[in-house]
Amino acid sequence: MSTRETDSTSTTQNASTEPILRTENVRKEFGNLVAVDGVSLEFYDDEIVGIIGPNGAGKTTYTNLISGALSLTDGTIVFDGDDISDLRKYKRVRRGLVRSFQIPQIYDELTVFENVQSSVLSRKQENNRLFSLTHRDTASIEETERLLEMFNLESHADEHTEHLPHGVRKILDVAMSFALRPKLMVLDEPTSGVGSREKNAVMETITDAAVERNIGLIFIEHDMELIRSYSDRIVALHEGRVLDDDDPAAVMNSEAVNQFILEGGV
Amino acid sequence: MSTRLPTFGDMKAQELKGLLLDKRLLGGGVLFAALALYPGLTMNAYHTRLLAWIMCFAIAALGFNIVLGYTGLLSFGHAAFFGTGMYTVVIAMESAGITDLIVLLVLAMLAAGVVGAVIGALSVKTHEIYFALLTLALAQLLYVLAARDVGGLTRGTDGIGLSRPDFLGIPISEAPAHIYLMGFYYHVILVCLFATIAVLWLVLRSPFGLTLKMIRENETRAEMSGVPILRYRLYSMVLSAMIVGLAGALYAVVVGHVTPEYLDWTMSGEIVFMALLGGIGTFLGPIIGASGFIILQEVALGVTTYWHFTMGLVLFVVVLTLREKGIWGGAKALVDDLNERRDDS
Amino acid sequence: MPIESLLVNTFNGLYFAALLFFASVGLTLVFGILNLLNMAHAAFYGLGAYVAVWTLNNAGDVTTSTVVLLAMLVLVIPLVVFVLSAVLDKTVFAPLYEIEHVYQLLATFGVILMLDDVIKFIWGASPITVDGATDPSRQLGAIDLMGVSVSAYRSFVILIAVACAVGLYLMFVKTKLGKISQAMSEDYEMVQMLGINVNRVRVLIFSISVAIAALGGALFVPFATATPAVTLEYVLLSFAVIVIGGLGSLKGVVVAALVIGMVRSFGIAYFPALELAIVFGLMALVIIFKPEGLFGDEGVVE
Repeated sequence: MSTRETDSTSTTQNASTEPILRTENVRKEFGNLVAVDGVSLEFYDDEIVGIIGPNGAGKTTYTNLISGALSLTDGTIVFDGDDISDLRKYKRVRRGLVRSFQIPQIYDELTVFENVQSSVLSRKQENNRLFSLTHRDTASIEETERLLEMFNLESHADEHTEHLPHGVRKILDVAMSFALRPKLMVLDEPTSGVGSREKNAVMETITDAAVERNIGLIFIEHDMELIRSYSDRIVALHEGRVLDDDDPAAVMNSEAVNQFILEGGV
Repeated sequence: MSTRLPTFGDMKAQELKGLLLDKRLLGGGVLFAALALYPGLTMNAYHTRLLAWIMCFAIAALGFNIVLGYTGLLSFGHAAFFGTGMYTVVIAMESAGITDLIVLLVLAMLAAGVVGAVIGALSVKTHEIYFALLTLALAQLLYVLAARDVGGLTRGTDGIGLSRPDFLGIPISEAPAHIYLMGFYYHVILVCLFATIAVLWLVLRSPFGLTLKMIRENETRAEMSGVPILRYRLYSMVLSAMIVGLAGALYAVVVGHVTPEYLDWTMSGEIVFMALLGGIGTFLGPIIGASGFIILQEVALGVTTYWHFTMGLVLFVVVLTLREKGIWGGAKALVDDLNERRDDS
Repeated sequence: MPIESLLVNTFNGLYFAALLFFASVGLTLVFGILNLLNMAHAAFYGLGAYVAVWTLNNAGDVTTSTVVLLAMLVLVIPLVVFVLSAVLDKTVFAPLYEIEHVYQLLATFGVILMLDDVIKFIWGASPITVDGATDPSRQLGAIDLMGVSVSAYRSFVILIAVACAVGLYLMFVKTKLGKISQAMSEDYEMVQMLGINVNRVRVLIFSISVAIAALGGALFVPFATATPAVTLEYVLLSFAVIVIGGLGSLKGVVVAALVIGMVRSFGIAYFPALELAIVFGLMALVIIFKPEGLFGDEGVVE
């Protein structure tokens, strides 16, 4: 079962660039259950990596370890050259490691504009400014307007987010993550709950923005078509371990992947 | 990580001009003038006292609402801050011989801020009812210590009487009680109330205020935007505690006698009640709530000895019908609704 | 004699624990099974106290028989309150099941205020006490327990509390109502979907819980006065008990009541100034370090 090919990543990448994120032998145990069993992977800021695997393969646990939502049982996480294994969640975000969730995490009682502006202000670490009015803060307002434009959200700017359609909420969630100017974004099922016709539009918006801003993307996805069309590289996880890590065509044709994942009826 | 101190934003001349022409500001100015002139024009000591009382609790309810309305945490321990404000004034006057009002108010805010920092640091990690129960337990701990006079500062349940403080070296405390209140102290409370409103209005519309709302609306997202949420919850507790402490300090001089009852959980309950009655989802709601609560209590007390029943019923009905909107939010929604209908037809 | 005082304090601790158990067990059951945080629960303890004083003092004209008086406290008063609370569950409390915990807390704070005045309206604002002639604690006198003279009535109260705890345990383990209740505490919607009349279960659990609180209040008064402050004191104490024990746990209530009972009893004897401070300090420590309480993550009965 040890079909690990972590070494192959370096061959597909330009050897001179440093990985933006590197996990070394990352491990997570919940009592007797080993959810992530020594995963070593490298990710670069100019690629889009899809993570696949059956339910319980450890995909979400792995992303939670990266974001800091869970603490490591063992192993090291290096981001942008620094060991961040013990860094608090919000500090990882401030360094440019941002994740989004399966269910859009937005502020329901605020307007779309305020949602994005809040992220802009947080990125600038201006949360503790006490005596300046946010609705007169031209710098953050202009940046927010540009982001709304980029994600086609201008028409919703003054709406409260509660009643937005699901697809728009997803896009807003992504726009808020982009406002943080990440170096690497980890997306947990960016198109879940989005109608099948909209899925491609959502993915296009995300990947275009990522390429434009030079942001590395890691995304978990169940839809094999999407994975195939948008990934530069695919990582297959199975029972907490790396089953395969290669370019999409190779992974999709791998025997092990076909046996454990594709035929597993995901 | 930046640890920039809070700064006064670059308020340009034009912005300032716009602010001055704001309708709300004009309304506030008129209200301030009317309230300031009221005691002198009517010479009604009872009304002046009632207004002073209302304004003290309006400050308390406004301060409390930072935590409940903006950060989204139900504290059932705000009596600790109110009581700390009161005890600081009386102990500083009677034991340390400090008689200047300004010094006393600053001391009270600092002391309440420290208590807020301690209770906050212990409780910000907990959620919802656990936060309510923990703040309740910690405040009640303070009540028990004061009631049993542990430490020998509070004289137990008898409480401590206090004399009137002076102001900037002027021996104004020698004036008769009703002149002291109607000619001086009432106006101090009035200025404090409007200063609180002005400061909070700015603070809650600043990035800081938006950050508190982010935490209320979605903690996960706030944290994933790089906000250290526990620290901001703590900040909101300390700010809230300082303002409630100021309210307590002002109120101590109005009642002239400080007892542990002001630290008791029923006091916390009343502060929550006031904020909720007016509407925790609005900025001015807590002021309306404090006024409504105290006027209702006065009226109910005048008509029947069973005013608890009246208050309980009102709280029950408000919680079930208006929730976070309260009277003020409910009225606003009603006006919006009527406007919409008129536009439609 | 240190041994003697140890025994006396332990006995008093058990008596306090019994009262705390009566006051709190319903609070934790209603929260655990029905998901209602009823701040007004202890108000029924206060109500039970008033009803008991009134009943005992009026019974004097008819009988002073200890057995009859005890039967009134243990059977008649809880039964009356059971019926009353069934009515309240269908009226006042019905809308509260649908709202968030923090609003439940506030609305039931309103109920406390209302009940407080209802009590004042019926019995007046001044404290009332049981007449000597119909006071079962005087009639029963003292008994000898391992060489120490203790109140026979207090022993009786402790026994009733034990019986009540065992009865509740058996109800949850053996009866259909108990099993449905346990299922409800784990998955309310699922039980509803199985076609079980959850409203009937709700009324029963709520009324049993409230009746037990009233029973505690009734058993409490022969030794104390009924005052409006009883409610306010027990609101806090019962919250301390259920938080320390773990919200929704029967075992937790028993253990926490014992802990707080002992703290109070020994606290009053050795450090009277700090007795209540220890209780609230303990409550705060539990929420900070073990928010689920001692047994809160284990379901109603484990």
